[in-house]
Amino acid sequence: MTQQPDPVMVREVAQLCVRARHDPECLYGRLLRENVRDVLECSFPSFCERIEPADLAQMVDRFVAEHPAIRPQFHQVATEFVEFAQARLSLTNSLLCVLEYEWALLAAEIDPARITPPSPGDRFGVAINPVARLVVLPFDATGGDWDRPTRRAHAIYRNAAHEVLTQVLSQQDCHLIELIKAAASITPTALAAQAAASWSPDDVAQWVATNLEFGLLCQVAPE
Amino acid sequence: MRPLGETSLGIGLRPELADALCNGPVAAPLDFLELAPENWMAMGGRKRDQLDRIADRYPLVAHGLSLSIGDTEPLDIDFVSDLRRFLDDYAIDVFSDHLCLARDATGYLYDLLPSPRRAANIDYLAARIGQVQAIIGRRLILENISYYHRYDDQMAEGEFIAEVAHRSGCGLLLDINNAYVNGRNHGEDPLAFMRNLPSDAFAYYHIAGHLVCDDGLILDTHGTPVADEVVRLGQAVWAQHGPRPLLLERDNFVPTLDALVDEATTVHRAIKMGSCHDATA
Repeated sequence: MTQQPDPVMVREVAQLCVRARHDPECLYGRLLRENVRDVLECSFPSFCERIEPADLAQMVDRFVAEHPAIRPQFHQVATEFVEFAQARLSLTNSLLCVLEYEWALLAAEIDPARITPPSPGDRFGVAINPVARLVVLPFDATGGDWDRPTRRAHAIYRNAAHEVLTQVLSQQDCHLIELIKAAASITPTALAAQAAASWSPDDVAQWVATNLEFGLLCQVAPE
Repeated sequence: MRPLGETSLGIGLRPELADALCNGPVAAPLDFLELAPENWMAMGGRKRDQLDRIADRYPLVAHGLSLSIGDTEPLDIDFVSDLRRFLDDYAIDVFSDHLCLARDATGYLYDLLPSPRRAANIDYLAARIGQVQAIIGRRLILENISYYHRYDDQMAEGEFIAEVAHRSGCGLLLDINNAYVNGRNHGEDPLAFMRNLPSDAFAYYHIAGHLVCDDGLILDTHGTPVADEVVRLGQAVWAQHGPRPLLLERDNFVPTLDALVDEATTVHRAIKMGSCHDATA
């Protein structure tokens, strides 16, 4: 048994694949592009809405022709495209942020981490939801107009009910999140002590309770 | 759960059907569901939850898309190992993929392209099949694809697949619609193709709908009901190779679960009855 392909096989396979990648008019060229386009329109609807159809077709063309996709799972075509866009497409910053935001929604939806709902009791530590992605966007993703420039921090995460949520973060939110991230996990009492210069213990307790309910925080065993 | 038998009936597990399969009553005519591991592995959240619940209700078989057994690159061992873990996690015994390529020297293509059918390639393919079987700890089952490109002076498809199965020991999944589509697109006789295949290698059959384009080309879209001609071909398959589990594929324009189960039941009954008529004629 040989582990090496026959040179003729190598040549024939390469010829077919090169044609499919570089000739959008041949049947396999069309099929490859349709598959990618379907994934993009399904995964990144707002990104696709902001692009002229001809420009989107050109991006798909370049992706098929140039991108060395390494992920075999079909749902990862979206991830492959984001990597390609970051490295090879000259998108405006706002358009790239729309793409990355929609990817973050998708990633939060399918992240393998298990999210458990908070349970009653007062002896627990808190950590940031393991699927949460904390990003600064040049628009308010929770508002209606993504084309109105602003600069807002957001948390994107999936809660225990499998809902994907986007939460705009205030500076105070970011401060407490940084304290929790620095500790990996922390009890509400210890968090209140660290934030005492700017937060009352009651406010910290309320903030923890609210964000446990939303799902931005999750409970962990106390240290 | 019922074990798969020769007259078992299944449909593909599509995300569009997952809620109904999780929450509705168990669909009595369905003996099994087939999933594409690439669409379900390494998933969390709602999809993982749905799959866990569906696996408690229906036997599962797995039908892969990205193995790319017929390409000329080294096998993606990490992916094959991940497949093994996924199959083990869900106690899936039956794993199939396609006798084709889905990757080139650049990377994954996310479609199924034909591998050249040459005698000189058979040992190479058999060695790769053996390598995969050793990793997944199961017999690999390979399906005939629908192809839209023909390499010059190839072996006949049936003869080639039969020889790959013989030398590798792999099982076969006969896609009846693909045989029909290839026959029409390339002016070949699907019955002659199927006559060359070894009955004892068949694990199960696929059947699906296709799209006839304006220029006469037929595309294997899995987006329409099964055509009458394909059902008749299924009857001939059943009469020649015997009964096997039958799976209806539907990946586009997916109807409700009830409608799909009705179609699967109707097609299954027509094939069984038609094959009896053929056999007694």
